[in-house]
Amino acid sequence: MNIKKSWWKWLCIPLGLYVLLVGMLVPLKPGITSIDNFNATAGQPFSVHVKGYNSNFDIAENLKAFLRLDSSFLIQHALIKVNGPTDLQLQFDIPNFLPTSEDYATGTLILDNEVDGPSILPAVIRLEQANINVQDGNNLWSKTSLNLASVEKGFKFPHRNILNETIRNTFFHVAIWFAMFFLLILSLINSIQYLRLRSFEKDINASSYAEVAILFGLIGIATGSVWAKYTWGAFWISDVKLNMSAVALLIYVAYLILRASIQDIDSRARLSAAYNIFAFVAMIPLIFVIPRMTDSLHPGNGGNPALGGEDLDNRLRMVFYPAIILWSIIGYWLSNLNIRVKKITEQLISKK
Amino acid sequence: MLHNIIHIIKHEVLLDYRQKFSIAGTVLFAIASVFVVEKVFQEIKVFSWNAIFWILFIFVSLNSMVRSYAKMTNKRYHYYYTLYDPTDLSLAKIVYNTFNLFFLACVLYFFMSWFTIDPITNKPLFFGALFLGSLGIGAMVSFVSILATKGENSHTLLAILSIPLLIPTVLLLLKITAAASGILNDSSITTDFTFLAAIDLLSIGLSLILFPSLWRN
Repeated sequence: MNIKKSWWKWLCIPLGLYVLLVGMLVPLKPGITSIDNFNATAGQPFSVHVKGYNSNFDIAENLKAFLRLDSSFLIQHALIKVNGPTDLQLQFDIPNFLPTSEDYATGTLILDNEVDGPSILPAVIRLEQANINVQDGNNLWSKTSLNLASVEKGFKFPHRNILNETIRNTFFHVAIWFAMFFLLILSLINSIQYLRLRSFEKDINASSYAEVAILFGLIGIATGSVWAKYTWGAFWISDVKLNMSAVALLIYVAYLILRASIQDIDSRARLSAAYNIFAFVAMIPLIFVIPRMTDSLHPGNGGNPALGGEDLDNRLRMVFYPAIILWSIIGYWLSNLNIRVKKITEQLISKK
Repeated sequence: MLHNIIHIIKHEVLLDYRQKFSIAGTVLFAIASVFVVEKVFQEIKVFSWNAIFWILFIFVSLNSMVRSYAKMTNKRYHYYYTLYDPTDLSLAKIVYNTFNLFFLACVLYFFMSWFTIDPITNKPLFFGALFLGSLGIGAMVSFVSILATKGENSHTLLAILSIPLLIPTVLLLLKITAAASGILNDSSITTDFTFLAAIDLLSIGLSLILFPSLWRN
């Protein structure tokens, strides 16, 4: 095998190893998995049992816990008891009044120590008050800004609530759909070239890329479905992004059916090239425009951030971008094999 | 160009007038489906009315489109080929199909409101949506039916190829109809209209670009 000519195939091996090993083995940052008490009342002590993840409560010496309202008001823990490395018993003395004119507020739990750094469980604790006194509330809750320990030890992926370990699926679900778009664009370019040049080779290329892209689309839906099960609670929900993705796949499966139903080689190539162009353009509003117009659970739609902000931090990017390159190369490789098989089949048929 | 388009449309109308049974068949299909809906549902809710209306409309328009291209035999293709520019021909087809579908949609609405209920409170909004919908579905389905008639089993193929392509249009139409019948209070209806028009323009543009490479054998 000529290494210079097929260097990109060899590149797959280190890239694949890197994505699999680093993507699956790098630990998550410490975080909070669950708490057992969600309701607090003003003027009463609030005790809660906290389960940590990857945390080292037993080693840490300077343990701190905060209950924060909005972005400015907070109280510190009254009592802290370590039961184990990931097990903590907390007690807060909630002041008599809340700094709000409503009868409830939502609190965020923040843990901090010098070994793990801060772990946050946002907006889970509901605080209620019987009498409202904003003035006293403002005085009772301290308005100091938090000085959290900044711990940057080792290479770790961010810990997100609900997502937890499934955050690694970014390297598969998201990256495989990126690769699918790469293949669909290659298929589109080949279809346009077929209509211009009428070379039979372009038709074989376009159909091969589209077939592998459909395979990648199905894998993307499958991995997304598993992800949905562990974050949203069901394999499939009636969400606009999911429905539109399914429709986009239907459009491309229809492309294969169109190809299969026309016997004449020339008219099959011509018609399917035209349909491929139409399908690609029709897919853009389906996947990129409509889901952004309506509410959706899927990141990147209806106000949810996708590739940016807190969701994709620089450490995830260091694996995510190589993963996109890896899956694109694998898709390109698979398509090339597909193209070669088709060409040989054509030659065998014409020899007969 | 305009002269040619008008000429082709006149020709189409004349052809349809000579084969009255064909368009009457489509209208009868619409009436029969509405009658089945009335019998099946007994008492129909506004939301179901909207959904059923657009589902029936998709099937009526697919039916009518198959008819429109089935009559384009090979000999007639050759005849058109010597006479007209492909862009003129596809524009004329789109215009004719749009009015054809708009007419069928009005027939469908008339019988739906006669046999069941008439939930539409905002008539201009509804008919605006009907027109834009007919334009989009007309452009898309006339493009796809050229592909489908070349394959085997063209009825099934037309449905398989066009229904996924029609889904975004139909979803928008469903939303606008829901607003027009007062069950959805949405201030972003103008956005939906713009979006519908954008999809229509996209499909018309694509048909115009791709048709010349499709029609010659």
